[in-house]
Amino acid sequence: MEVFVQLLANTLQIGSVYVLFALGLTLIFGVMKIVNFAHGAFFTAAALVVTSVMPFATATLGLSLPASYLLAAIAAFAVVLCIGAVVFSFGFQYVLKDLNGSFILSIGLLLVLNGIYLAIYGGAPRSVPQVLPDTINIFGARLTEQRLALVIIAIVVTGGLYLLIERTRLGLALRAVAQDQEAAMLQGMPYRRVALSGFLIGAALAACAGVLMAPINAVTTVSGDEFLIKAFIIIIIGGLGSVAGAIVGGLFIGMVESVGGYFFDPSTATLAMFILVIAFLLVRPQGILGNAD
Amino acid sequence: MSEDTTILSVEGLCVSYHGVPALQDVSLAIRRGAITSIVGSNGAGKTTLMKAIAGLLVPDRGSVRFCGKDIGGRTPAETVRSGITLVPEGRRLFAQMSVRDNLMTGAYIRSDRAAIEADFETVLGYFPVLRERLGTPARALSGGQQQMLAVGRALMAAPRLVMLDEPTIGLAPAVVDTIAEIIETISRNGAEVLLVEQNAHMALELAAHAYVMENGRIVLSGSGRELMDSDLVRKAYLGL
Ligand SMILES: Nc1ncnc2c1ncn2[C@@H]1O[C@H](COP(=O)(O)OP(=O)(O)OP(=O)(O)O)[C@@H](O)[C@H]1O
Ligand SMILES: [Mg+2]
Repeated sequence: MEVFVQLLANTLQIGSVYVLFALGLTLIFGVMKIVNFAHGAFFTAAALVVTSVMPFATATLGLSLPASYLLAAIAAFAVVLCIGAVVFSFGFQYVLKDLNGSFILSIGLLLVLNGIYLAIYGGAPRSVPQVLPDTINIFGARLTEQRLALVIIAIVVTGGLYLLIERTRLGLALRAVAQDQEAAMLQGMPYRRVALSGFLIGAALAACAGVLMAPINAVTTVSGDEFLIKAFIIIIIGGLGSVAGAIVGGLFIGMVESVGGYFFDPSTATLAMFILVIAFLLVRPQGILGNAD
Repeated sequence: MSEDTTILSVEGLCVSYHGVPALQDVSLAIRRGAITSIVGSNGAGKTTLMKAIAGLLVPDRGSVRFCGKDIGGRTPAETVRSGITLVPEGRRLFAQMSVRDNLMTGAYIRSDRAAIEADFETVLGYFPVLRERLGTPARALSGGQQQMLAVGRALMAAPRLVMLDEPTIGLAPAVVDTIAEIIETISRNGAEVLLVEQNAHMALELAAHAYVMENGRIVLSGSGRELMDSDLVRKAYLGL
């Protein structure tokens, strides 16, 4: 029982961050029909901003830990949205629906951004204190409150995204553009503006994952890239462009990682993931919830 | 053809795909209060003309005036906002969205909730089968129902001009009749209709005024009756 609950908690904690990250990637693909290889850079930027704003806010401004974390989160979102708006305006809007062009652009962007992060922050891992360091016991399994809060926030954000997509006018446009861009334009939807909205929402989701992970794992200038690889695995399993697929796939990969890591070791878990990917590509290339067409 | 009876006029329109001309010097006028039809065989340029009016294609030359205003160079979104909607060839529904959401995409440009709700009811009144299937994804509908949904979606924009690109292609005769009736109803209720069809019989029967297109040009125009009696149309399009 203890082990089961512990593994469930680990699955949720790892998986929920993957879900947020993969949702952004899949949303950007759905609306713009591009694969954003620089998506991890949004995560990294947010996490790095947290690691510089939080110490500044506690030491220089004298704020409490929660207040400085909140301030750092706001700063992280602001920075990522600015980066997102700039790279969209000067780059991505010219490669909409262009797989080759966007591949070159996003790989190049990834290298440039990683270079900038390295120049500013250097190569050493950076960490910030947990806001909620206390540990709680659930059926004998131990979990820090920080991680519990992370899961709750991720669930709330995912739920909010679902409502946005299913219930709002912007969501209607995002779905329409993803399914048939020309038909969406014929309904009066401004494609470029809708694409920008989708791109910024995707970037914000990566930022959210980065903000949540910063107090939990040490942050380096390439932290997000590891998530990118996992997100590709998730999307292959769940189905590219599928919101539900990103959720199912993210939790599934979280489970493989926590269960595999517990009974074997992390490298076995990683190996299992790649075997799964190969199996999916062979048997069901559209993923669990993707559309064959 | 004075300005006050003409709602849309196309003058000397030329459109090409990668340098290959698809429309050459096309001129036509749509008058208020009547259905206008364009007939023509495969590849004549009918779809190209509608896409150019809708703002999806940029013409090389020529002008499009709507309600007296030059609308050349507008984006599709701006064209929809000025009151022109297109029911595109092949319907182009949002396949995974429900019938209700497909209809709501048509009302994207509007914010008058009460009026949208009223138009929603009107559309379901035109096509009662859709009412029972509001939650069904569009891809699960029959061909006829999909066409009804495509027409309904266009009407949800509260357009002043509805362009329909081959709305009856591939449909059973009974469904063709339903669509034809609705097209007449739309016209009676105050919107202008531009109907493109390979089904010349239906198109000419409904039309007060009609055009025949061949190889990117208008080759004949007149009242629906006149065209139906002309040798060219009888031979080439009515198979008589
Ligand atoms: N996207 C495109 N790229 C290149 N050429 C095109 C394109 N679309 C149409 N054409 C060409 O333009 C000409 C007019 O095509 P269009 O689709 O307007 O004809 P149409 O009258 O609508 O035919 P149909 O009755 O088959 O729908 C044709 O010669 C066609 O091959
Ligand atoms: Mg056509």
